[in-house]
Amino acid sequence: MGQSMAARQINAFYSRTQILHDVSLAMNANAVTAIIGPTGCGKSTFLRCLNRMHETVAGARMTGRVVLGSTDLYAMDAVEVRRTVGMVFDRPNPFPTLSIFDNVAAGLRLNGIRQKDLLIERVQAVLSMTALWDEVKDRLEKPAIHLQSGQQQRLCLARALALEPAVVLLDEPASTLDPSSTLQLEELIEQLKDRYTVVLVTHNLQQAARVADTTAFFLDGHLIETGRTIDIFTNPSDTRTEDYITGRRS
Amino acid sequence: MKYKGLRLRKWKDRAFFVLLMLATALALFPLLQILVEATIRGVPGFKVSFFTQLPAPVGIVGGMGNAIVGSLLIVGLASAIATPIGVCTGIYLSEYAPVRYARVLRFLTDIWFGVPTILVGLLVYGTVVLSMKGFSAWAGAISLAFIMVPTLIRTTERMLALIPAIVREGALALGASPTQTVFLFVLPAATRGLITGVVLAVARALGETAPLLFTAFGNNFWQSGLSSPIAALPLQIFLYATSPYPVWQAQAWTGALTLLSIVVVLHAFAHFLTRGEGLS
Repeated sequence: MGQSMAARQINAFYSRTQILHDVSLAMNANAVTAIIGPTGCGKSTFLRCLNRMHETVAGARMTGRVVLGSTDLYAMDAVEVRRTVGMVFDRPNPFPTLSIFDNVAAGLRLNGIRQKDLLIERVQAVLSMTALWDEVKDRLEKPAIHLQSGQQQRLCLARALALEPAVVLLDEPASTLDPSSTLQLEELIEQLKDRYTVVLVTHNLQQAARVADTTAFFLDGHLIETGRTIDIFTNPSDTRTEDYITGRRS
Repeated sequence: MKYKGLRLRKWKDRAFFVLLMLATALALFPLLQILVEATIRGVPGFKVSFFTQLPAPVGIVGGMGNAIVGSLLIVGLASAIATPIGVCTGIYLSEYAPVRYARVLRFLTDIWFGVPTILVGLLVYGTVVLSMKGFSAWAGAISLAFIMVPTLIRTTERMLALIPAIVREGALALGASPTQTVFLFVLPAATRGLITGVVLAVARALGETAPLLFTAFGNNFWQSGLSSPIAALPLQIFLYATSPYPVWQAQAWTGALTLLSIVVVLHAFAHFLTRGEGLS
């Protein structure tokens, strides 16, 4: 089951440049929260603060807290956090030297799971969950980089799900995919919320409208507005939100 | 009006193209000449005895067997010393070093790379040779290792830099520790590139002569141990090529062809390893 997540007063920096200003956002359990906003508004940085990937970049730092359930993620070991909060990136990034099977099993093996039957069972389960099993079951030992990009991205999702995280972070996951692969991925995201808390960063407004329960609008590192997706898109309370979703320049 | 000067532009374009072609031909010509010359002059001496016999006085058929074995031995020893140091430093530089350290380290490596090889020989002479009280295979190997290390650092760093950042991020996001990320995900993806780096460093070391002059020194007999002077192919070529005897000069060509062949094979192997990856 997913757990609710809350970011409290996040300020994030790259060297001296402040990217995020005092962002607090609650992300409900078993729901999809979409984060929208123009390029450079800090939405990806915010996402990367949620699984402590932000701090892996040289010169990056942040203040504030992220709470999952009742656990403070910044009081935990960062490696442990990333096993609990999974992430899919904007470009498919299967491990280039590993087979399809080994890509999905990578996270499990990192966690010390070695029993072959257990690995097979989990790999099959997550590949089925991501609608890949039927497509790849006959070539599990083939290199993952030979898959199409849509399949690669679903493989990366499966890889993250294999660890049974509480939260799944999606950083513009469809940005390099063609329309039909995008649609397929969106259907998957819908199903994900049965089991996980999903946070989706997207620059595709229709995508947010289609899959998100809650939407948050970021501008210049500030959280401008958050609310039910339908309210954000039909009746935003801030004119800056309205300008953005209607394509007007502010 | 729109097409004014179009003919002139086309002409300039063509002239520039020809200029570039000429420069390329000029660059390739000496290489071609070396290959042709070494082949024509070296092939007649390509006999079994050349590879099995010791150098002999003029008038008796000799070979460079000991020099070939000596070269392989010194370079093998040098690679065993230099590879772990160079590759590990390259990994540190690429994956661990904070930006500021990395910049300094990279600068130092560039200086190291540019140190004239004769100075390397002198340094090793002043330290190893004098303290061991004699020329030795060890001294030769250490000076070659000294030359290989900066090459290895640079190629290792470059090969690792070619692995996209998203591979590292993917591993970190799965809960791999930084060290697991490097050793389980980044290095395996770069294996062929790293081997290529070692092969190219070996190829470079094989041809070095200056640092061996007063470290390995040369030897006319089969090697008896690592603590005595040792023969090496480039040294033997140097000696024979500068001799007044046509027989020796002919053997120098055959030695040169042998060396050249080994280097060409090594480069071809490196190229084969990284084919289609745009690494070398």
